[in-house]
Amino acid sequence: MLTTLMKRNTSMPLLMLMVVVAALGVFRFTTGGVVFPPQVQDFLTLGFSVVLEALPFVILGVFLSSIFQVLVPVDRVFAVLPKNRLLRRVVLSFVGFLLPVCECGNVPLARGMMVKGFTVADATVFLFSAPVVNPVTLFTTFSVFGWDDGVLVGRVLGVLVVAHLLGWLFSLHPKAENLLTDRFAAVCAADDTAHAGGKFVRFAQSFTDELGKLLPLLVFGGFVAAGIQVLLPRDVLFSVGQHVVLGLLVMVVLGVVIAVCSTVDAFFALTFVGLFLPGSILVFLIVGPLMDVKMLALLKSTFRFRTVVLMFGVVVSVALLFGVVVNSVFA
Amino acid sequence: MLLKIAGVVFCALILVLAAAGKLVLFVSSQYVVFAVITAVVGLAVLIGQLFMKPSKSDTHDHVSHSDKPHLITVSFTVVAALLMLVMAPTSLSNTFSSTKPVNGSSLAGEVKPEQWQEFTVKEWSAVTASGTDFLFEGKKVKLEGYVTYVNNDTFYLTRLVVHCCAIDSQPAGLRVHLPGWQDRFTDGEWLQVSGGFQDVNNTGEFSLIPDNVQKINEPENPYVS
Repeated sequence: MLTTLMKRNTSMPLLMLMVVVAALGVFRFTTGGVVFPPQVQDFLTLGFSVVLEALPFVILGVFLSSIFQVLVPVDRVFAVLPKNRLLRRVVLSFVGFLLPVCECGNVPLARGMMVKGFTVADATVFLFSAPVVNPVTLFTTFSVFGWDDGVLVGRVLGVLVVAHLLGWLFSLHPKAENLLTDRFAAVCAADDTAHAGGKFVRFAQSFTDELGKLLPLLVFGGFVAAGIQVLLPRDVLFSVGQHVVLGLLVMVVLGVVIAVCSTVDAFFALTFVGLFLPGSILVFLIVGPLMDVKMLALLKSTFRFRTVVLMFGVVVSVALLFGVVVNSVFA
Repeated sequence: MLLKIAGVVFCALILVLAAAGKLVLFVSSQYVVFAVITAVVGLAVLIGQLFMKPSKSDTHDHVSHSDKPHLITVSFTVVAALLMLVMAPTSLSNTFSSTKPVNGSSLAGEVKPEQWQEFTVKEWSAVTASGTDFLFEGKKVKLEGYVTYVNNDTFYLTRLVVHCCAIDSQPAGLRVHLPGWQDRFTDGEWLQVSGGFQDVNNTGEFSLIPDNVQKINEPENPYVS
């Protein structure tokens, strides 16, 4: 084992790190582990809960993305998609029905699409519609809200408007690769055929590379969400729930800071019923899956900071617009 | 390489925590099977890749080198993985959960009265708050939860409701009418309470009137989904 690793240019510090990991593992399972002071322990529990809940979805997304990059012939994919740009984006906005992965898993999938030659606009439409326009999220949202107050319809229409608006804006950009980070743009521009090795070697390489890029951002986003949960006085936020304007804005904040998976966030939103107007709840259900802190961290792996700011502005604006419409009709 | 080790540590910890029944302290029980399957896949590919003969593109491909994540986030991830290794998994403390308002009426979703024998604190807290008194006549229940203060005569028997992971936890509380309870129990203490229901103050809100109250250890899964 050590010989194989040494052949891979594994340095001495890395081997020492592996020894430390093994030693800590033995320490943990012989002593039961360290219990930190309550606030620190809660912070760690909350942060790791986000990581341990989202990591399986990221692994699934990276797995599908790597299969897509290595095994799927891109010319066949393009052959079955409409040639017309608008129609193609409409089709892509419903691909979530075939790949029902939550928002964390959609980031690696969208990255895989761009590496395989999809435009930034096409991948963005998929990225922003799939977290909600998929059978799991639609079922859970329907099971919680039914057809009441236009929440389900508003949620689907809201994310579709966001996705197609961003897709349209990005399609107008003369050099769409400038929307991406330099690093990721270089990956997309690289010659796909340059990769040597068999299909499994390339699959494993793609899997570990993608997971290696997204894991740090997921951990960072998870602990930002945990820190905010520990520090944010939520009773103050709840106290302004029935205010028409403040209620909407508070839900933008809650949507960003409470990093709940899109497939189950409707159950969480149920706790807001009665405290907030239906339009405010809709804002949470649109902003949350598209722009929560862990999603923002993951988006930064692919898009430039100013692109993420633009995305944030569009998501929040559309969500607030839909929230106002629903409040004016149903509240 | 550092991130591969961190990835291996996280995947391995998912499996170890699941095997020890502790993963439910972090994620909803409905995610455990999915988490285990994906962790096995992740572990297999990551470990397999560690021992794989590097391809030519591995050593010369400028792309994989230029797309490396930032050192700070890498360091943060490695430290987090090491912390996860040494930390004893525990449920959220009463100090944290007491900062959230105890709810009940909206957490349970649709409650099916015919399944009342399977109700947890979550469902009972919803139906007692709604005042549908036909549910309570002659019914005896045995429920587990921790104590949250209401007043000198009443406390909430509370459970944290988790839909996704611990970060979305919300306390659901069932009112238990037991004058002088503070002489016997303290906030955050886990109890098993048996008894029936009564509208103590004629307000339409039912409380559990205990026949028997026992102190218990925290259950293996302290949350309800």
